[in-house]
Amino acid sequence: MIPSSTTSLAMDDVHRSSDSVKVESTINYYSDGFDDSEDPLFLSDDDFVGDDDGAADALLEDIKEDEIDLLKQKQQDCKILSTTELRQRMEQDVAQVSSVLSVSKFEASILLRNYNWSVSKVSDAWFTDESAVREKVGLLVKTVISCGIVSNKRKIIICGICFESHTSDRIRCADCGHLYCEICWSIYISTSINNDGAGCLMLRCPDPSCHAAIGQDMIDSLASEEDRKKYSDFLLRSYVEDNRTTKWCPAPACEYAVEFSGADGIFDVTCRCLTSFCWNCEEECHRPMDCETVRKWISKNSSESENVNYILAYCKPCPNCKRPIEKNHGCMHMTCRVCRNEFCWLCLGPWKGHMNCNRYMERTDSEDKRKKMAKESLEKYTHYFERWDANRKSKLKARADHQRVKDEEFKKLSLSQDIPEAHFEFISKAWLQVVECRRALEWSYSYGYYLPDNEPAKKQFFEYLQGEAESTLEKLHNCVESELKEFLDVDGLSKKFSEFRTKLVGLTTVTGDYFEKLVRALENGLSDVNSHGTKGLEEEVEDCWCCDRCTYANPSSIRSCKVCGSLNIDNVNE
Amino acid sequence: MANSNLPRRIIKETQRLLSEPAPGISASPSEDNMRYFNVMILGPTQSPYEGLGSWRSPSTSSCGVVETGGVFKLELFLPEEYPMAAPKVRFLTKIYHPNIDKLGRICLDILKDKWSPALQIRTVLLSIQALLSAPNPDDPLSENIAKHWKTKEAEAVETAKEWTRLYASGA
Amino acid sequence: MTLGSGGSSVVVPRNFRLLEELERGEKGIGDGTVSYGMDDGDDIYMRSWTGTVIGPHNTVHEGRIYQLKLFCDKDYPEKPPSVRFHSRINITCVNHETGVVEPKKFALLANWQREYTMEDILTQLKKEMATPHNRKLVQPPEGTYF
Repeated sequence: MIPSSTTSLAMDDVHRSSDSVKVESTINYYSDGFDDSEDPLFLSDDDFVGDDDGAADALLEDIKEDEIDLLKQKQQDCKILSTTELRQRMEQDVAQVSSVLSVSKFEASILLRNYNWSVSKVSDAWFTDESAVREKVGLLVKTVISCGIVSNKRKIIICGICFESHTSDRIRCADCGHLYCEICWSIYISTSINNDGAGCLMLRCPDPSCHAAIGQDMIDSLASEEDRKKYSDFLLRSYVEDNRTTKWCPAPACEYAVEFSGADGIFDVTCRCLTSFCWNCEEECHRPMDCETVRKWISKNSSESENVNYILAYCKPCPNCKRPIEKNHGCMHMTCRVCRNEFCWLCLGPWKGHMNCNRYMERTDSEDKRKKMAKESLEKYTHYFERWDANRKSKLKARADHQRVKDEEFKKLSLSQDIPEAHFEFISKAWLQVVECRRALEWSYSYGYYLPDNEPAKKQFFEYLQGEAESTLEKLHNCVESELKEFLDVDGLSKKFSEFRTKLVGLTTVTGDYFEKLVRALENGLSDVNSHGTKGLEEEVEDCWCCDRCTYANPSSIRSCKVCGSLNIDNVNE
Repeated sequence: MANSNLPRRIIKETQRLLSEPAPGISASPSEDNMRYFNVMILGPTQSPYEGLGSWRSPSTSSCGVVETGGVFKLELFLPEEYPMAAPKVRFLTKIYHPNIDKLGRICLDILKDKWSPALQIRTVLLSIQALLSAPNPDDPLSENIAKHWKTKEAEAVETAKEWTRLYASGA
Repeated sequence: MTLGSGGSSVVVPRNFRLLEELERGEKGIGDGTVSYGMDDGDDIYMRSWTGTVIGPHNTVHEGRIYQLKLFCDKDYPEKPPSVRFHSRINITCVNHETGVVEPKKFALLANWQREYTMEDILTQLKKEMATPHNRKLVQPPEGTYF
């Protein structure tokens, strides 16, 4: 049996990696908080399965947290900011620049706007060449003359815009001293706020030869309340959009911004509205793929869309009775309602004995070579696209299912099993894990498409890891999707339910591990594979056994599964 | 009447345009619409748009007296938002220029995003006159003319002179 | 919004009004079932225009593309443009011989106001095609012209 060897590799890797700080933040993402080492339920202690409901319940109390808190924990590299928090930050930055540079807050705000809201860039530039900075952003040293004119209230002044005469108390100017009446000023400002979009933040004196900046102090004293509100919204938008460290959450109705300070090329972030996206390219999360390849893949999908349209159809004929079957569950294990034939949705092969169908088999027919290659290239693309797309849909379905389960079934379950809803957190976690893994699996197929054909060892390793991950995921998905249903209408806390919990928790952890292994291997370009072959893969085949229940690979020295506690059946039989 | 409530600024600008016209430029409001001006600009000397004969300093009277060419008719309109929005101007005389299209529309920054309420009709017309002296084929409105200008400038200038002779004779 | 009105005493002169209409037409209008453009890009007075109307749903006109000629004379928009169908069509306000949209039978032209635009004319003609007395009339073959 092939599997065991790499699984042990997987374990080694996970253990090794959890020592380094860098991994903490990334690992968390995949296992959805399960590997939080302070959470004793999910330590792979040998004895944790033993203590039944009592201890587990107590532990579940501890885990009972908002999903938001979970998110907070697992995303140390990013911070979700509300509009209020953003305004506070902006004010702090302005205050800091104002005090360091000894300029007014309005001037500080103008400076920051011109330097992408970076406090350090502003002060660097300022202390390098103050007058150049003043020239660039339009901050003049106040002219004494203009103030003199304005203070003389009896003087009559002609406005440079409307040409009307005004007493000097109705006349205003920026630091440059160009005089215009208050009415013209306010129309000038209002015109800019309503026509120039964010350009109004860079408003200058109306005199064409002058570029004195118009600051928020003038806006506040001359614009209508409505315009002041718009201006301040533009200012906040600029604070987020021009700032290199913040971005708005791309979800349509979401008002949060995400501040990101991570490195390492891992950009997955999740907003407080639960939208996950890649901070770098603003597409949805796509680990283990890099942004550039994702862009290529997405554009390929749109250009190939005509060729693969049929794949998008939701129906396939049952391979046995040929009646059309619509897939309405998330997992790939299909059962025909008519003939009860069980098969895999992806390869249409029988489910019994179904191992993996993730591997792309190249055809060896000897047709006209060019024709064959063209056909194969489409076939190859179709193979990967179909799986990418199926997992994508499965992910969306799982997300919706999770919501429905939380909204509807927890109540029922709580009644039938007489357990508080809070104790079903493990079901939620399993669903979140499914969603996360479907997402990773989705992108692993795009990754597979771009894997060079001339590196068979890498390809083999990749397909191996992917196959393993995929088959545990199918088990987990099936378990949380179908097995849960059994308990909905059955009264009483059955022993079976606690068995179900044990199994589900175990599967969740194991699946998380498999995917972490897969994702990390893909992210480092499958560099574990030595170019000479897959020797490493086959060495330790004999040293492990795969748990029948949760598929966890255990060292052969242990008789009961480390994760779910099942006995090694082969061993028992001996 | 359409001209009631004409802003003081427009009245003052008009008075000054009529009493102290800029050299080579005349602008007079139409009788039934004080926001609509008939404009004439003389092609600047040393440009392909100058009159071909020798001509004296232009008359200040609104009817052009230079008959030897280089007289360009334009129309100008002050929209309701003026002076917060730029005036609208276009050539009525056909002209071969990279920043002016077949319909006489002009590509000039101060008529678009660089407009400022402190600018005036006079400054706009002077800028258009200056544009005739200094075509800018890098920011074209007519792609073909701009390309012509960039690849074979001498030939393009000849075409511009020819067009001036054909269409801008002031007759 | 009607072009060049603004509800004030400001009157947009003919040429600038037509330039506004031209720019609006170039940008594309609404769902694209109504469009128009200038015939002669060299005509500084912008007189000849071609309009296109795609026949509205649930009528005999559905899917048909009708071409029209509009002519804006010097007195536009004080006076309406003259409008005639180039593509053959059978509706009550169109002369069967010439394709001319007869102002007497088409209220928008009969009660013309300077705020009205060529877009309004085309849109109104599209509505006209969907009126009960027009929507089921037998039509001449597609692709024939007056």
